[in-house]
Formats: sequence, C-alpha cells, structure tokens
Amino acid sequence: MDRAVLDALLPSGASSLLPQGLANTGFEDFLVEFDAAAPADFRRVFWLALVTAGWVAPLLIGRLPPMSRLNSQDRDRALAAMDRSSLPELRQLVIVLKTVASLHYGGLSEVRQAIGYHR
Amino acid sequence: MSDDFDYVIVGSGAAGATAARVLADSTTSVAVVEEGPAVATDEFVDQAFPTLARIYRRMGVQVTRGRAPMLIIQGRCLGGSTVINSAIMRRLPEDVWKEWADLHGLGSALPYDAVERASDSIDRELQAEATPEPVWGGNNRLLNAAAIKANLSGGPTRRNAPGCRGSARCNLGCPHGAKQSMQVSYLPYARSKGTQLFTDERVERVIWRGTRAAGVQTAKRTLTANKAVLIAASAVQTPGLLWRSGLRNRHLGRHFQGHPGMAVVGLFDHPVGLGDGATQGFEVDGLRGDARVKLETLATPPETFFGGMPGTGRDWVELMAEFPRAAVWVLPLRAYGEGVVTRSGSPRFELDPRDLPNLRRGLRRAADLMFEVGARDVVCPIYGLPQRLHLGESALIESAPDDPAAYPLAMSHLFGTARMSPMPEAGVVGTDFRVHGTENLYVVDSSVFPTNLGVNPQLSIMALARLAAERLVA
Repeated sequence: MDRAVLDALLPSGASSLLPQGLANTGFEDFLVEFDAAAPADFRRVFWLALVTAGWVAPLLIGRLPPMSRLNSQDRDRALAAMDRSSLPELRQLVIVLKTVASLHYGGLSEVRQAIGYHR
Repeated sequence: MSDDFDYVIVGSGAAGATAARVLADSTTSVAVVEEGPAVATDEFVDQAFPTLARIYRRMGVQVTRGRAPMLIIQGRCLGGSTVINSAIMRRLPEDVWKEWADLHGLGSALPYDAVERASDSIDRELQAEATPEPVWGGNNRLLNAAAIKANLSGGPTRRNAPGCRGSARCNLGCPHGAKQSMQVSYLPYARSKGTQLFTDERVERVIWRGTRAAGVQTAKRTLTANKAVLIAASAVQTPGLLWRSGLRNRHLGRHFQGHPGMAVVGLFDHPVGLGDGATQGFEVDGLRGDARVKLETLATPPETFFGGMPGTGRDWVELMAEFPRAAVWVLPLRAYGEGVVTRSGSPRFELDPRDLPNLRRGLRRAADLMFEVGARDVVCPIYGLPQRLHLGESALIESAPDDPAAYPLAMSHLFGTARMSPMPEAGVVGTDFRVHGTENLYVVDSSVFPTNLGVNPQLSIMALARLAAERLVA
C-alpha cells in the first residue's frame, strides 16, 4: 500500500471541517473488508489504480517514480495531473481510487458528525 | 417444500413480484426465484459500503463498455431494484405510448386505457401519493422554489412511500418499511396466498419439453412449471438467461436502452441538509420536451457525494466539506443511443450524437436554476470545466467537450433487450408477452419495452407485468 498516494488523494489538514486524511483513518483495515466483498475485477482495477498513481502519475509532471520519493507538493501535482489527463483511462482510474476512498471515508462516524449527516 | 408449480417466476423485482401478486390470486402454486438474498427491514444500515456489497448487483459498480463507461445501478436482493430505488411512481407517458403504438405496432396489444387501469390499481395498492411537504427537506424545497421562479412544470414526486419519515435513505433500503418495495408489499401478499419464495438461487436455464418451458434449473434444484415460466430478471439479466436456455433471436440482447444521467451540485451559503427529506421528493418535467431530460432531486449519503465531487487532494476535500450546504439534482436523459447486452451478460452502450447536446442543455438549465435560487457555486463535474462554476459561467457547460468520456454518467432504468413486437422478425416476445416460437415462456420485465420512457419506469414495469399476468389467468 503506497501511503504517499493516499496522502495525495485525501490529505490531512486540507479542511478545518475534515482535518483527518485518508491514511490516518484505518483505510488499510477497510481494504481488508473491501477485498473480501468487492467483485474481483473491481478489486483488480482498484489495485491497478493505486499502482498507476504511484508509478505513472509522477511521470506526468516530469518526476521519477515512485510517488513516495516526491515531496508533498509534487505528489499533489502528480495526482492532479493524472486526474486531468487527456487520457480518459487515467482519469477513470482516479475515479476508482476516489470511489473506494469515499466508501470508507464517508462512512466514518467522525466525518459524518463533522458534516452534520444523521447526527 | 414442493418443487412442482403451475407458474415459476424468475426475478422478484417490480415485474416479477407484480406478476406473482396477480397469479397468487388464482392459484397457490406459484414460485418466485430470486438470485439475491432476502433482507429484512431492520437489517438495512445507514452505510453505503455494506449496503452495496449486500443488495446491489456487483456492488454498484457494474459498468457499460463503450467510449464512456457508465455505472449501471441495479438491486440484487428479494424485491430487486425496488429495494434501492426512490419509490417513484410515474405513469407511462402518453407520448411514449403513442410511439409504441405508431412505430412498434403495440397499440391494440397494450391499449392505453388498459395500462392506465393497471396503473390505477397498483397506485392504490401501493398507496402512492405526492411527497408530503413535511418530508421535503432542503434539497426538494430548493427545486420547488426554482421551478416556481422559472415557471417550469414540476411538483412533488408521487411515491409509494406512505408514512415516509424523510430519512433520505431510500437508496440504502428504507429503514422504516415505509417504502412499499416489493419485499414488504406484493411478495408478502403473494406468500400469504401460498406463493413460495426461493432466495439466493440463480436460475441457470429454462428446461424445455419441445417448445414448452417445463421449468427452470437452479444450482440447487429443478423447479417444474406446469403452466408457464415468466422471466422478470431485468433488461441486463433476462437476455443472458434466454441465451443460456438455448433461445436464438437476432433482437435478443439488442436495443438496450436506458436513461444515462449525471448530477449537478449547488453549493449554498446556508445549510441545505442532504440527510433530511425524501430522497427524491421533487421533480421537474418542463425540460422533457426541449432537452429530453427530467430534472429531479437526489439526496445522497456522504459516500456517494464525496465520490462524485471532482478533483483530488485539497480541492477534493474542500468540496467534500461543502456537504452540509449542498443541493444535488440529477438529470436522467431520454437517450437516443442504444447498446447491446452480450451473451456473457456484459452491457455495451454508446450515446447517439444527439444525446450530448441535449444533456448539456439540461445541465446548463439546471445550473441556471441553482443560481436562481441562490447557489454560490455550481459543480458540474464534466472534464475540462472548472471544478466550480460561478454565477454567469453556466454557459461554459454548453461548450463542454463532445466526447462522452468527459461526462461521469450513470445509467438507471434499463429497457429493450427482449423487445415486444407482433412480428417475430422484429422482436423477441409477441404482444401476449410470450417469447416467439415458444408455447409458454413469457418475458414480463422492462426488457420487452420497445423504447425508453424519459420518466422513472417502476410503475410502467409493474403495469405491464400486471397486464401480462392477468392475461395468463384470464
């Protein structure tokens, strides 16, 4: 699991309402459940998306991979470049990353409390 | 438990359960076979992940192949998609019926007044009513205000959810049993009359005796049908079952249609409250003629809202944090595009060149309406557009790319893969719902619809299934 990708995707401290980043909220534990429940091709695409973000996204901003070697600003730029790529396949992989991250993050009680959802 | 029945119905959603309800009034010998699990009302949870994993087909990530992969949303549990839909009860639009009559020769087989009569009965039995104002919530109120301001025809959505408490959880399974989805309405009725329900059983194929459907084979057992087998497995699964059962017809799996659509999100300076109010409690029909889109509200849980917001990193988190002040409206498009469901069950779909201009016109109108009722920013997550549109920038939507891959589309409401036609060379089933060339195999789900509708199809699916079943026992 490339925590650098998780940090770039959903970082800590980006919002006063949602201060916790994805990597600090038990996402790895969630992925165990995800792997047990998700269809095989969805799991494969998710892991492909993680690897692509880690190893291809840095190249899009002219940096050598992996993502973990980059400083935090370049990580953000690299992932944003993948998200805005002219190749729809790369953009779709970012959507997959965000979908899985959201399934975890949006279900967290502290997140729901912060945004006032079903208090 | 007996394995010998008069009627075997494959699928327990809007079509299968409605057929079961009708047949159960004339015989105790009905079986309904459902691929997914039975889930009790008190087992529904307010979390997307376990819900998707348990009661959605392919965990909600079934996608079409094609230039733009689209999510296809289907339930996979006792009650089918009625468990996860928003309970919307719309009549078959008369203009669509006229198309069916004029272009597909179905006028005498499906007289409009017969469809209406069936719809009346279902409406009554399932206690459909306009969404009452006390459960509108902020999201629905905003669309109401916008419709009034723009003088657009619209109103509170008719839904079969008497006693709705406005918990905005329709799509996770109603936690109060208010929504009259099939597992709390028609299926218990049928069961009380002797119908047997088989869950967690996928039908592998229809068993034949010559051209007569003698029953179905599941992994666990053979269910014999002495009178008829009714297929109601959905427009994606029905063609696959028919193929596995040895049927061949050049229209089988073709003419796959639906309502691809996407959301527009308004960000306000005041709380909106997506967690309160009927999930889809207000709708605007005024754009159907011009842009072939229907505009409706959609309350989403945080998981879905977050996943739909554009951007990554700080930009994304900042948009997530807008949740308390966000309104979400969606635009299902009556697309001209068609696709196919392949023999392996994989759906392909391509938009028609006329579709994107219509969608953009609808999206722009929706964005304008958001601004008219006070949105600070509007999020319209098309590739190439700014993440947030400010007042005066909605025209950018109309100049968005003409590439379907730029649009995050999802498709609900699926039709056409075993379409009805009086002529065997033009369709899969005849006007009596019987598969051409068979004695007693019927398709009663939305696969038989020759076109999409432009409105939510639940009631039309039920009405046609009811007509089919009534004719069987007449």
